[in-house]
Amino acid sequence: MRETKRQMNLHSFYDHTGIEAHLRRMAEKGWLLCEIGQFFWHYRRIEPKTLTFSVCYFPKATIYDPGPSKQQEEFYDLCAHVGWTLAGSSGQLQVFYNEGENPVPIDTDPTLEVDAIHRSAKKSFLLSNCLLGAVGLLNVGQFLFRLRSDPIRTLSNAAVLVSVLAFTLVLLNCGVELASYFLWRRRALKAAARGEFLPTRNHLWLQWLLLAIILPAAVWGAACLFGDGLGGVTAASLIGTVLLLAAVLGIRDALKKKNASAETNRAATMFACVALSILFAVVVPRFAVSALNSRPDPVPEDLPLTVGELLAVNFTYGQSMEYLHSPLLAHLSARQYSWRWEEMDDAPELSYGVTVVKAPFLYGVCKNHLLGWREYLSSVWLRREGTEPIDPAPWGAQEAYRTVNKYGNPRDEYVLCYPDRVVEVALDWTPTPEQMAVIGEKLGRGPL
Amino acid sequence: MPREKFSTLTEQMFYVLLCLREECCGMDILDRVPAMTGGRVSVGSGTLYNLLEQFVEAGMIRETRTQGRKRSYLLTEYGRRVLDKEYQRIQAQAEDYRRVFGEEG
Repeated sequence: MRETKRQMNLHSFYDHTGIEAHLRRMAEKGWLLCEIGQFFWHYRRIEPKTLTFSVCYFPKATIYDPGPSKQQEEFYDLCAHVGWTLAGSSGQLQVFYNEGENPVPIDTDPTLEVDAIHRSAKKSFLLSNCLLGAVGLLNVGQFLFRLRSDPIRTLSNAAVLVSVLAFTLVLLNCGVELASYFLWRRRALKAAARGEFLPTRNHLWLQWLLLAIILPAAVWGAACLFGDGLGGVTAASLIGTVLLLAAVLGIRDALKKKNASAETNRAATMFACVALSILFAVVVPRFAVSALNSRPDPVPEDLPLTVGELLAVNFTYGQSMEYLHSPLLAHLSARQYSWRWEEMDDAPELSYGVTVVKAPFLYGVCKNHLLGWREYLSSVWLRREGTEPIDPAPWGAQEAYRTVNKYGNPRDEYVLCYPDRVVEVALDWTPTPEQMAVIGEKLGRGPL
Repeated sequence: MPREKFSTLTEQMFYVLLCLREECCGMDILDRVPAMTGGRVSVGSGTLYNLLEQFVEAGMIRETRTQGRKRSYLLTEYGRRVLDKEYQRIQAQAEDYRRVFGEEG
């Protein structure tokens, strides 16, 4: 029979009512809290009994303290004097239990209780949620910016979608945590003015929901990246994150064991965190670059369409191909380009992008993105281009458009709409109807 | 508008200060308050710890000695004045009550 067990705690920092009720239920089942860890709470087996728990906040304590301060010990002594035993503590959070019936609560003044919670929350819960919320907001904002400028590549990238999903959930969680804390505090202060205590209300369902979404999404995202030949980068990122976290927490705990002062420990841990994060940010992109470089260049047969299938030419081409896919879109972009100096003027080049729309509601978004007027910097001047409809029949498409510049002059760049996909093709020549049919046949249907 | 700190005292503050007319430590106060009030008033250990800190900060009590982890305190002149003021306030309240309900009471 196990004598100890660990359990993840998802209660909010300030949710003393919820924590006390949970610990009481655990004691009734025969488990008593004995240690509050970084991610898990540790319990030891006891005879099942009804215990009274009290969660208190000691604002002067920090997670960097080598042990309880003199003031904290004095506080513990006062609690012990009236039957309260310390079950565990972490930073400002102090959990006591009492075996007596109807013990005098540790906090008997609601104003002082709300004040202690707020002073403690400012040092930990509020600070961490504000910082995490800011990171979430930054990432979601960055995603929205990318979505606006290039919806196809953004929505085709599974890694980007997983990342934005995770950060949206983080942002949502921080927002709910902060909003519910301040709402509780406002009501608790009003209740305290009447001399009443206001119990906290938890939103554990949200925490479990977020966990239930984040974990499968992370696994799926990692699987997508592994599938795209980026397993090395993914593994490096995951291992790097775990190592970074373990190193930072390890440094903090080692300094605590060595009785370093809280100030020294905080400074050293912060420094290690920043230094290791920078190192991590430098090393992983190197892995990414080498992983991308190590992927073999596509051979012409891999490309769904080559110049050789349209024209009878015999030039040496370089080629590039990129394939992105997510549950919403799959996008393939490919290019054949001349790289020999002596052939550059003569070798006709070909580039195209095929976007298969898996989520039908995004069809309009993808099409409009390719059809709208756009301005971009080409070499040294600003180019402005739009599209005008042309006959789709030779392409076998539902709709076809040709790019025109701001003076209305046509360019050999086309946007073709098929039932499940939007194709953009850029050629160095004007295609014949036969070539249009080949392009439609090769890019307009079939799997990517 | 927020009330000025300690312009009025809660019952718990009042009894903690009252205990400190004589030098005593936190544990003594935890025992004395219920004894003094026949169990009507109890001060929680966390509340007491915070009150003692705030009273010291406000100059209403002073630390007299430290024995191991025990600190003893004593009411200061200023603390005594605050306590007197509170007593007068309570007395005035009682007189007002008597004036209104005196005949019936």
